[in-house]
Amino acid sequence: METVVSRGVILGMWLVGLLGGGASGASAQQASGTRYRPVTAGHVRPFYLAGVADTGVRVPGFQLAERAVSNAEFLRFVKANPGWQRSRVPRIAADPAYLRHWESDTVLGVATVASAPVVHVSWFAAQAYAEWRGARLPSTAEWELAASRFVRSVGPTPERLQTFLLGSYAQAGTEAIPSKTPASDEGIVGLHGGPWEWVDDFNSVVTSGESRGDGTPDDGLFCAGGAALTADPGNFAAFMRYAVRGSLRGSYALGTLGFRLARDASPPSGRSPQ
Amino acid sequence: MNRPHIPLRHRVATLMFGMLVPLLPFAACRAQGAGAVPASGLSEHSLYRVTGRWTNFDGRELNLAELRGEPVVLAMVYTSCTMTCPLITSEMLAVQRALPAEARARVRFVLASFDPARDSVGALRQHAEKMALDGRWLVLRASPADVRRLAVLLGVSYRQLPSGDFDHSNIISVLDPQGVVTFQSPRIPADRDALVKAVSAVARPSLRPRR
Repeated sequence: METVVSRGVILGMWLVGLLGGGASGASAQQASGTRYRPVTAGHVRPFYLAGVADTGVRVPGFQLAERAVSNAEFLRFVKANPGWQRSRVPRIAADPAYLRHWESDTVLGVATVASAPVVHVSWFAAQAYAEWRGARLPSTAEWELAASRFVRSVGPTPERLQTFLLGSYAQAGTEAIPSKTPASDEGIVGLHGGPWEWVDDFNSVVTSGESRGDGTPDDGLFCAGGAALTADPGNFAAFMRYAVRGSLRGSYALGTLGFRLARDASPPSGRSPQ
Repeated sequence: MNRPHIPLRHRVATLMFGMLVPLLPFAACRAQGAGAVPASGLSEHSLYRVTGRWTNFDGRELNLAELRGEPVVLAMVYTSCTMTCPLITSEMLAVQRALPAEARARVRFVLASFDPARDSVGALRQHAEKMALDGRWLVLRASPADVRRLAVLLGVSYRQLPSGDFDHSNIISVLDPQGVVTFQSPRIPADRDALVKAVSAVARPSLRPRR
């Protein structure tokens, strides 16, 4: 075991260097300022209710990026971290669709709008980008909290938001920038109507397919119980978001999935970006 | 075919040189610096392409990539779990017992905790003692981010409930010496025959990397 360990440490060192996100581009933050908007603390009712009080889960306040990460921003990342370029990333970290809408490893090409949200990115790539920027991905609860605040633009009831969203889905188009959907009350753009977004804990949807037999109350969310256990069976958009998250693998690089950055409300002083 | 007679002393020297040769590429890579060289010869699908820092129940720190070269049976659990986690560990113990002696001596068994908040090194050690895990076992903890990363690599879903317990997949994964997942048992009770067969397949001596 000892020899294995000593060799492995060396191996581990270059793996961390290659993919760990690391500190190799610490100056990137200055190059492109992400604007964060505070999201105040609140309660989220998870889409499925198992083990959660009726009032939902309390989510502390945090900061969420006003916009999703763009092609131009992600291009800077892969230039600074060549291990994340299309031709070099290992398959375990990103499937063959990774950045395939770009012309090449480091060229967006005429078909790609630089300011549009980057898609065709895997969870591992999104994580590495966030680490490189000294930020993180939002959790599911954080994302859902931020995405529920459309009182000012849409109206006070969740039904109004759903009706609005279904209406916008009906006008399906291929517009790259979700400019038609209103910003949230807290000024966050593109939460609805644009690409779906990675969340840190996308793999927290424990569906009956995998937990069958362990007796958890989640049995049947997508199986025999149908939508009966869900908080709001009429919420088609939320159903779709949870279904998509539950079906993802970390290497998937879908054309309908991007991400945005988050950070804690008040980062502890002196903490270096990781 | 006649083999030329080589004095024993030379044969020993050759053997010793042979044992050193595999280390040379590692030394060379180290000299070129971190990140300068791709993980040579490591499969595109190896878990060891993306790893984190873990601490074993004996306090030793390691990167999962250090397991390269060994067949591995791996599951994610948390030690205060009273539902399926002890069953997962028991299943892996049963697999260990069912293996032919030669494979048993080579296979590494790994439990990785979902629960860094409560699974201290001491808690992991208690668990290892309680379950009577032998020297082929590692029981590991890591930061929440590294836990999440491993779970995503394995396709393991989990979430913490307000009670502090976790809902989680009951997946037991089999890794070849390259760190590629070759088999996953999705549920408890597992199909033990299939699991033993899968572990035996990655423990074949022919799969030992030339290193």
